[in-house]
Amino acid sequence: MIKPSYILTLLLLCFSVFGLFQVKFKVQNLHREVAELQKQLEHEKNSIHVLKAEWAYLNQPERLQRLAEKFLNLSEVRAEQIMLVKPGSIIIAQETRNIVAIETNNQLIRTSMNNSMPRKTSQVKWRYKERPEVLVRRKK
Amino acid sequence: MKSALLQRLLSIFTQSNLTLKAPNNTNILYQRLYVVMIVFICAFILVSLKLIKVSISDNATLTHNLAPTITGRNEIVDRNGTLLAVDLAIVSLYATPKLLLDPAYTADKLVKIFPELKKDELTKSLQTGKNFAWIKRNITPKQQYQVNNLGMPGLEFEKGTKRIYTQGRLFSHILGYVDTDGNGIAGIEKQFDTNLRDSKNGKLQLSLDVRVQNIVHDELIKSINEFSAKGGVGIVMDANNGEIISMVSLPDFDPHHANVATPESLFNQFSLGVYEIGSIMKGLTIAMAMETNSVSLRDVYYVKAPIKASRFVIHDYKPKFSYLSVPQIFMHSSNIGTAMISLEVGGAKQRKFLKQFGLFDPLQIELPEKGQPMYPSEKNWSDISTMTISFGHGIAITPLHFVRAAVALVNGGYTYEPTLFKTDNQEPKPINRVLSEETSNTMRKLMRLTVEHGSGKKSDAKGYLVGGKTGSAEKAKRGGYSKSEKLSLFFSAFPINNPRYVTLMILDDPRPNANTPYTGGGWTAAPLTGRIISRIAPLLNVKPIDHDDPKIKQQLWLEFQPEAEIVEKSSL
Repeated sequence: MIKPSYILTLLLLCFSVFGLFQVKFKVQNLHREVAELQKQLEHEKNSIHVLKAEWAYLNQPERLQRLAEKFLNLSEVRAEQIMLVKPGSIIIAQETRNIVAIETNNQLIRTSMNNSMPRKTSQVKWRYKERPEVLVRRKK
Repeated sequence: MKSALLQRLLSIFTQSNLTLKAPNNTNILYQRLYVVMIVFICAFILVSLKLIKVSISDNATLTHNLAPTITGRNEIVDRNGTLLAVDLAIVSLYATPKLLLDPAYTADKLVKIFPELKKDELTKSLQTGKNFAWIKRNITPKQQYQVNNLGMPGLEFEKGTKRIYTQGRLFSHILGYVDTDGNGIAGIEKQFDTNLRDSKNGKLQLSLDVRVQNIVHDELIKSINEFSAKGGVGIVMDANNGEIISMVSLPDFDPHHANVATPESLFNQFSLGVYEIGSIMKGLTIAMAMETNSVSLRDVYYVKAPIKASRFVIHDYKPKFSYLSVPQIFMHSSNIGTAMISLEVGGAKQRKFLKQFGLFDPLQIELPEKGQPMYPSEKNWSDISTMTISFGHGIAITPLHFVRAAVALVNGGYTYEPTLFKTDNQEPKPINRVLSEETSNTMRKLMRLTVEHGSGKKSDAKGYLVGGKTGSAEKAKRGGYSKSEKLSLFFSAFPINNPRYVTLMILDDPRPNANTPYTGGGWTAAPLTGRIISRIAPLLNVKPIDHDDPKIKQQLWLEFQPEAEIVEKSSL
């Protein structure tokens, strides 16, 4: 005669054996996956290393200078192009011809941008009010 | 007692099957059952204990089977973190000739992949039947793939690293180079060999700036080509902490192929080469005279007649004036005037003073290549030595020695050890005061005058208020000085009203050309300095200054014309 408790024990045994192997294979797979990822990580790290070196190599100032001279219409920054902005001490232009030059420049920029900014100089707002008399005079 | 228990246990099992079935022996049956149960329980407890141990203890042992990373040497970066030197993983191909089936055929196939290999040599090395033979170091991934495709036994790869200098030859003398096995041979690579090998240390950050280095390198090359010079040196140093921003020595070499470089290009001129640096020494002499109160700025010297002392004659190149004031002696770089000033100070004081400036001490720079200064011993330090040393002859120092000393002329009187490391993450270095604030202030004015009205006019980078001192030195040859070969130098500081950086530019043996009839420092090294400063100042965040600003004018004002009556007297 088979007692129900025997069946229960047997089933339990089967389940635990099944579960054990299940876990074992899972762990094995995970193991493999970890190794794979680790390898990939190594590879990526190496790639980053190489790319960093390449980035530094491509950004060699000497190379950039050569390319800039070839393709860009830029020159070095001159001291007179740098302005120290201190409110109150800004003098935009002391002479009329400078104003004209600034405005022509502004217009050129606007034209090239092809936007709807006002073209008439009378509509241009000057934010610097220290020397209004300079701004009023204009060449005809 | 014990043996009795054992006997009892044994008796449980030695009972025959027949007795087991006996109805009156149930007692023994139970006893047997208990023993089996206890054994099993013990076993299960052991198993579960082990299980608990495995599941609780850290599972570091699970991840053991991973290949170790090949790291190689640490990276070297500049002050902004730009990569200067890095190790890249790379594969080398070697063979085990013993295992090769057909060496001649293998060699034939390999030469197709690596056209630069010589077939005869390769065949010979593969036919030896030894255990090991290099075929090619540092092959590309594509070549590796091709070799793999051959599918030949006996060809194997070795993973390794190769040092790559991402900025090419820009830092060749500072960084140095490594041999094929990755040992530092020169420069930083040698000095910090063990540090760079230890991956725990992380990357090594230097005080250099790639952008500035490139500009100095670029302009120096232009000047060398312009004047057909043999070489040149450029140094840019922070005037207030001794950090080297840029240091170039030309000709230089490609650190990837240092083994084929010429000895001249491997030679580091800024810290190893010692030179008689000529007139730029006058700055130190005038500062010394001022510091010891030997002369005043209003003193006037007669400089028309050359000084004759035993077999030496000290003369000036362009004696335009008869009488020169002390500032004029500096501005127009008069040897006679400087020699006379130095005599008033005296040899003993001069020696002590130059020692204080560190001109006799070895450099502390973080490079293995350090030149030893050459100077007369105390016994041989005659008045003639005093005079010649006052204008930079009879003493040989490295360019870096001079920068270390001369920075005190402009920064308020302090000297700093030039360093290749950023100082802001280190302890502040002890400050060595060698000049008074007042002397330094006067020297700044004198250096500005030299650029404004004197020999250094061509260095005046507009907006950056350059101050400087020109120099040209005849190169010492066996038994005297060479008339044809000389060094042209320019030492400068900018902006001179509050110096942030000092520079020293040297051109080795410049030749006159169509535009520049002279090769003195004012004609060659000064314009070079001007160009460099106007390019690097915006990068170094130096704000432009209006040269005509009355405040600046007043700050740097110095009366340098000799008193009228003396000049009148002289014309009589």
